[in-house]
Amino acid sequence: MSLLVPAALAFGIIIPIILLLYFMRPKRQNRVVGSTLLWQQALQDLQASRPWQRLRITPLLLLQLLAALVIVLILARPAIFLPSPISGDTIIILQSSASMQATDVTPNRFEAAKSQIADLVDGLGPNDHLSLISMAHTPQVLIASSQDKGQITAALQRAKVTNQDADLEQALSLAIALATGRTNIQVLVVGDGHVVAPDQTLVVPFPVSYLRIGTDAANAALLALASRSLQGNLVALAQVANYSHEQRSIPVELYADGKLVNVQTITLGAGASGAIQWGPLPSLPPTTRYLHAQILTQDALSVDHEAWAIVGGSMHGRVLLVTKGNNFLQAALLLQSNIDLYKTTPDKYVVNAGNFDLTVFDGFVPATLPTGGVFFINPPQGSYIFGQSRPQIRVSHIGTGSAGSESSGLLDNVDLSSIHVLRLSHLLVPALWAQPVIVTPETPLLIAGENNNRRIAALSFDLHNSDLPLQPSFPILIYNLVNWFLPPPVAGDGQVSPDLPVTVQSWPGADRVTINGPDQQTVTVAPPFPAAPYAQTNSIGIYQVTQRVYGQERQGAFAVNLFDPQQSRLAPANQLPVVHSINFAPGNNGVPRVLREVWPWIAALLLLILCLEWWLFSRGYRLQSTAATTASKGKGGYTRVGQTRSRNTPRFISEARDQLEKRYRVARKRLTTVTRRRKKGMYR
Amino acid sequence: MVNERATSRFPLDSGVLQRLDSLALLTRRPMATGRPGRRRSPLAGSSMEFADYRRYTPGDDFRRIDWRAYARLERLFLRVFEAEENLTVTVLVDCSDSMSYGLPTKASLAMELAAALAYVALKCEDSVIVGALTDKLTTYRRVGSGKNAVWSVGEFLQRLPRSGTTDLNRALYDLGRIVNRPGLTIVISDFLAPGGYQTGIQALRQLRQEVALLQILAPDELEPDIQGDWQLQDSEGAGNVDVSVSPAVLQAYRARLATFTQELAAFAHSYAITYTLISSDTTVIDVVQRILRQVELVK
Repeated sequence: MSLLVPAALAFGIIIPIILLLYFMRPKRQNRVVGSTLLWQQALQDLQASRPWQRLRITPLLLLQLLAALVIVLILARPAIFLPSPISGDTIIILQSSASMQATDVTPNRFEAAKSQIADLVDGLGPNDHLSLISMAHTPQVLIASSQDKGQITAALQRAKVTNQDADLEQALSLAIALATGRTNIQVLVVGDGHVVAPDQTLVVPFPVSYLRIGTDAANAALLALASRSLQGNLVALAQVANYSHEQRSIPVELYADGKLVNVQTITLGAGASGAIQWGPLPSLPPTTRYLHAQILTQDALSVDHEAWAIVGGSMHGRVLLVTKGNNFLQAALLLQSNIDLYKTTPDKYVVNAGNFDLTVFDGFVPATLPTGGVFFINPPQGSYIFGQSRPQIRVSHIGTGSAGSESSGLLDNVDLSSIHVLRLSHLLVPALWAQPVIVTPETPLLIAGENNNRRIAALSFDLHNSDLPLQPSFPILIYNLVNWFLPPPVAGDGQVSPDLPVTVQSWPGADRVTINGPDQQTVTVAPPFPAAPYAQTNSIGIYQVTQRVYGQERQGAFAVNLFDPQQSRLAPANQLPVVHSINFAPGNNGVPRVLREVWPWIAALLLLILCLEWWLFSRGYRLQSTAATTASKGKGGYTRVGQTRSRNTPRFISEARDQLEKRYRVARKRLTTVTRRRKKGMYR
Repeated sequence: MVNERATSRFPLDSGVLQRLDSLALLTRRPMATGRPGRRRSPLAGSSMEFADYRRYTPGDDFRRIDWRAYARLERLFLRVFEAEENLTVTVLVDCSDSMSYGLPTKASLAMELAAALAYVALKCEDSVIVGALTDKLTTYRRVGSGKNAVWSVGEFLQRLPRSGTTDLNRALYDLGRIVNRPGLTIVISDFLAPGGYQTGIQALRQLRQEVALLQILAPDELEPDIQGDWQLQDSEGAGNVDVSVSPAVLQAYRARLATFTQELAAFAHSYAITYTLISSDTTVIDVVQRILRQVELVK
């Protein structure tokens, strides 16, 4: 046993000092006095009036001295050596991915891991350092190289579980950075081992221990939810996985805009996954925007029981096609799910009549351009906002232009080599801000750019003079162009992984962008533009994006879903993908011994001593009370009536007894008086 | 009158003795000692002081018949005169070791006081017994009346023992062997006797003695001038006392001394005994002429 505050034992010096004072005799001078009689009596008087008395050894005194000794011992903070899993300089990586929310251990894996770490922190020695890293998609240092148990515990309490995956490679990189300049580093990973699989087994310059949390619990998960329109009717598709060791029937509910549509049950074998299809659903209105699937089975992890999907485009825009007639273009535009297409002819066109987000002019350019994006196709000869359209010329080889970053996605998945017929094209002279996207040696065929807070593109030839509309690339090109003019809030299919920062793509002309999450908290991400990354995507669900474009509110959305088989498969990993990783089990690791304070046990002993002292005191008090009662009964040779009166004695008997007792006392007093006077001779 | 030669053997010088010539010892009431002297007796006697008349009864001394009263009244009356008797004054001096303490010592004042009281008694033609008390009545001397007997007193006082323990009860009880008549007994002591004094004084009262207690204490005993840690040794070997003198201890000593003297005074008052406390640094003439007059032991 060791003492953490051995200086407190200095209080014990008072004991030998007291004993020394008792042992020491003062050196006295002799003095002869006539008589010491008065001095002796005076000292006896003084002794009688002193507040203390001669020491009497009693059990109470011994217990009190023992209690005082124990208190001094507690002040000295005794500690014993105990085997501890951690010592020296330790970095603990706490996994905070979605799988740590599993409740197969009480209350859940994350809290159990925190509890394990808290136990380790309690056993931290005075010279030990500890760092804490929270391991999710983006690792985060909670506290670095601290000896203060209070700070470490506070940092541990601040750690929150996320819906992300866990990137062990980045976490170890962070640990390597923390370990720079220090020696004898050991790393302990606490979690279930569901980490992003690295390309190869990781090699780190320090030993890595793995404290496994969790059990091989059963879980059902939704891994995907999508929708498509089939002949005008909505079809929903969900992928369900059964991560258990037995066959299960998993019921799944489907909601459309919050209303229950259908429930289907899928039976899956152990470890299998399958798809559920709802539809076609003619009962759903065409204005349905969101789908929500939910697994009704109760199991260890619930965050993967829900999935959300956006029907159609994530953000709908109004598009006006101004043409004398172009079926190819119209068909291609109608294929786009995120637009509402309107059509008119050049002679009926009125500028800004409908506040369209995109206006497509096919072979026609009005004198006044509308607000919003403008897509010119085969512009007549003249000078326009995008540059000049000169007389038609013959073109030859078609190639890719030097489009900038803004319009770099316009040719994604577009195969220009399949265009074989292109007779004539206007010679385009682009403005400075316009970038050529498709070029020929003679003239750019497609230019695009952003000018004065709106996007403008121009296609230099008539679609009827080319076989481009007949190619599969045409609808893709139109799709890319529409998405460039009217970008969805989130790139891709509107699906976002949890806790990943989202940069909302705002439409040209937008002056404010807000996001309303599932927790109904609205955050304004713009202005200033470009929009700030939105990081509060931890909750699973639909995030509403509202953009104000030229005074009009445009609603968009993106969905946050887990959809991570690695996090949904709850069986803890047996080993980490780290070279020389060892599995850790608390209590039987060959790690150095550390001091563990034992004062709580001594405090319990102190409490026991105090209880025993109280019992002795109470027992002595009761004995004294009994003795006093017995003495009072025996005093005077008779028993007091009032003390022995039974509660059941009738009242009139009690009153008669009192009367007799009173008369007896009066008679005794008179007899005493007469006897005294007779002795004095007062009577003859 | 004492001449110069005598002063060398007598504790008091001639100047003091001259001032004592005008003094006489007082008793609370007349005592019938049966020996003629100069003091009034409660009995009728043959002095020159007329006391009363009484009727003649056969057998009376007819020489005391008042013939003038017979001539007027034709009845025989005898003239009765007061008796004057002698008184035995016993002066007992404590000679234990404790009396040798003090500056000046209590014993010196006790010896001078005994000499002065014996001188006053002898001057009044009283008989004087001088005795020495320790743990018993060590020695005594019975001297006759008259001033010439002072030499014998002086010689006795010079030879008093100066050692021994104190046992007043036994010493005073021993006085019954030599005193058989009423008289005045003056005890000069510090009364610091471990065994007490009450029994001895009660024995004196039973001897029909009128008692006067003169307690002499040294100034250092009345107001101790002592500080610090001391081992106090009893001069009579009654034991040592380790004392760390503090104001509280001094206060306790003063309280105990007050209690002791008050108990002695109360005891004396209860037995009609004259008592006074005298500091040893007081002069003998001051004691006799002032203190003893206050308690009406001398006039």
